[in-house]
Amino acid sequence: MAQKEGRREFLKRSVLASAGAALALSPINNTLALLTNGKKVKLGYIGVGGRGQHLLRLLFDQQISSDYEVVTICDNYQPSIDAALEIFKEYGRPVPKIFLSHQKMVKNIALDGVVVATPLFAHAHISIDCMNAGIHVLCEKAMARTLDDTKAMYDTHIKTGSILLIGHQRIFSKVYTNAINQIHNGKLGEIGQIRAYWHRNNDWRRPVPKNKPYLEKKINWRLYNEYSAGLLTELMSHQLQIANWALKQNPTSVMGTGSIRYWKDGRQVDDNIALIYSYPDGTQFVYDSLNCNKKYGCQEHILGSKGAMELETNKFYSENPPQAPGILQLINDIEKDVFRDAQIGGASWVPETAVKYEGETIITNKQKGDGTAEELVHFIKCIQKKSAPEWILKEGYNTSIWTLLGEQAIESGTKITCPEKYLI
Amino acid sequence: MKNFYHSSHFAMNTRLDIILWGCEESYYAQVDNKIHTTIKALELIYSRFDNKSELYKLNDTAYNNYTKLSNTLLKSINQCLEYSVKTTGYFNIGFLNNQGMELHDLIEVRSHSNTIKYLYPNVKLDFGGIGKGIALKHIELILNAYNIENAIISFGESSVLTRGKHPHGSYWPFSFQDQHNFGESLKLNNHMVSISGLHNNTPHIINPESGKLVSDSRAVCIVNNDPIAAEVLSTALIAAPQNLHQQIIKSFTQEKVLYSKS
Repeated sequence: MAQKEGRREFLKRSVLASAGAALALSPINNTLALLTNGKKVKLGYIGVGGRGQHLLRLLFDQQISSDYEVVTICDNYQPSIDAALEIFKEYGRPVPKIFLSHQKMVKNIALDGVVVATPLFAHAHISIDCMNAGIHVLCEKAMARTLDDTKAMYDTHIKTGSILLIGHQRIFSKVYTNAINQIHNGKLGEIGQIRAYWHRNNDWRRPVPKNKPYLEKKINWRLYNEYSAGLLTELMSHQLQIANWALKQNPTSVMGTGSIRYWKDGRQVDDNIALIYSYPDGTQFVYDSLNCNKKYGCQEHILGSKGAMELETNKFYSENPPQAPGILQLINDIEKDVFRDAQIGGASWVPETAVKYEGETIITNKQKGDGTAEELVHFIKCIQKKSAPEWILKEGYNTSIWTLLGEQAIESGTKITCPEKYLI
Repeated sequence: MKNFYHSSHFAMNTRLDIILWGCEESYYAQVDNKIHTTIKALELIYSRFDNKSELYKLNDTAYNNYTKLSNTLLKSINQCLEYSVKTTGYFNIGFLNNQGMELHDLIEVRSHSNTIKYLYPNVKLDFGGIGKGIALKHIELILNAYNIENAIISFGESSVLTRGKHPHGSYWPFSFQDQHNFGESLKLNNHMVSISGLHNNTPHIINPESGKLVSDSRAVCIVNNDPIAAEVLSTALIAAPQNLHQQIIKSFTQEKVLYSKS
């Protein structure tokens, strides 16, 4: 088991690290280079279903194998274990020890950190058990299925000093960190509204073996209230985190509605939701998600007095874009083999023509992926340094709390505020 | 892209862009050089601001004094007198401080002796509304002489001569970007486009009748195949009241007259 430092020491360092990171707004400096101290970080993966396997591959793809070792995996579904072992084999990694229960894993093997990628309802007790055992935790978002469990996870982190990182991977994306930095520096002026959506056209189901119908809830846990809040916890939480991050605030209230409109297949979670979160300065976060149309896909529009950003597509739209000289555009087009109208004769921009303006990229050197690989590396780096930026956990915590309050708003049909006991 | 040439110069108080494609760069450099030296020579005739220019000196000495002038300048002034008539006085290179008077009221030209006399002390000739058209007419001859098939020659994106086609299409694609919308697309081959109106939101055309700067937010775009006529017509339409536009337009040959919305 990795040696634990004193809680007070840890917290002191965490707060300092947090302040610095919050100022820089980039938790990892977007680098995959690790500090090498000659000692491998021992990792365990708890939950190696679809997401867990993806996280394994992403980690194995990084050129940092001398810095860590995945020594164990844990899952209670044999097909997932088998698939994970294939990945170890594919990457030529030593066969990990296998456990069916995380308690046994924690008791029997020395670990520095675990990656928790189980269904949502299991996040809390597994993460809490690990932190209590002195193991640092990277837990997939959202944090937990209930408000109390979410708070309990946070409290355990404070009590034990173990790192708790929540898998909001966009915090580790170059596009997002750069965009948020620009927003905080006033690029968009005053933000009046954030609109976001995540639209898909599928039933969101995984296949259940025909001879084992009793596995339905185990496999399709996202569709059942006991295990997940569906679109809210699995999709919206990503985008609510971005809104909170961009605004540097947490909501003050949420209203919402939802329904099972299209997929009337026995599921319990809504396939169609719409919510409005209000912030202290009057900004609104307007959100919707559905499972029966994919035309508009996934997007976050951040709308300010000086411009708008569409973060998923790395686009910035100024309210007063500089007029591109027509001849310059023509020359650029020729060089890029583009044939389109060059606009000449204009003296000023007018907003009514914004539909013709194709915007600008937020950053030009995007990284591959959505930040998840960097998140994994960051976690290992934090374990090596024995400290993590506290603001990232607070982002995850507040997002999870307000995601679940959104569920309450939908269920009650009323405007919901946050009970004081969940404020940190 | 191979065999693509672009250069830009500051000329005639604006940016001159030269775009050519299809031949070797070294050949285009010769064309560019020829254009550049030709414009320099024209500026020494037509510039109102260059104290070495013929016009500058003329403006200084021609009041009440028959003054000799070059064939080139004489020809241009006579051409401007014709255009003044065609535009019912709204194209006027001598409007400075002479409210309501047409060009032939301001000057007396004796072509047989290549002389001119200004009839009032405050008369100054200004080729700002036609000079780029004259330059593009000369450039057109250069392009012909060098067998240039595909070209864009642009003075400040408001006086644009096109030849041939875009490397990736069958024409040069432009759209008239006015104050309120992007207007319709222009499919140009061997054309001239002249746009007059506000320049960077600053009025710069004087109504010869009122003597005041035209502050209307309209812009007008002329498409034809005559650089000089296009420049004259776009300038005159900005200065003239709308009820005279059709009458003026009928005096010219053009393919398109586009307006911005006011």
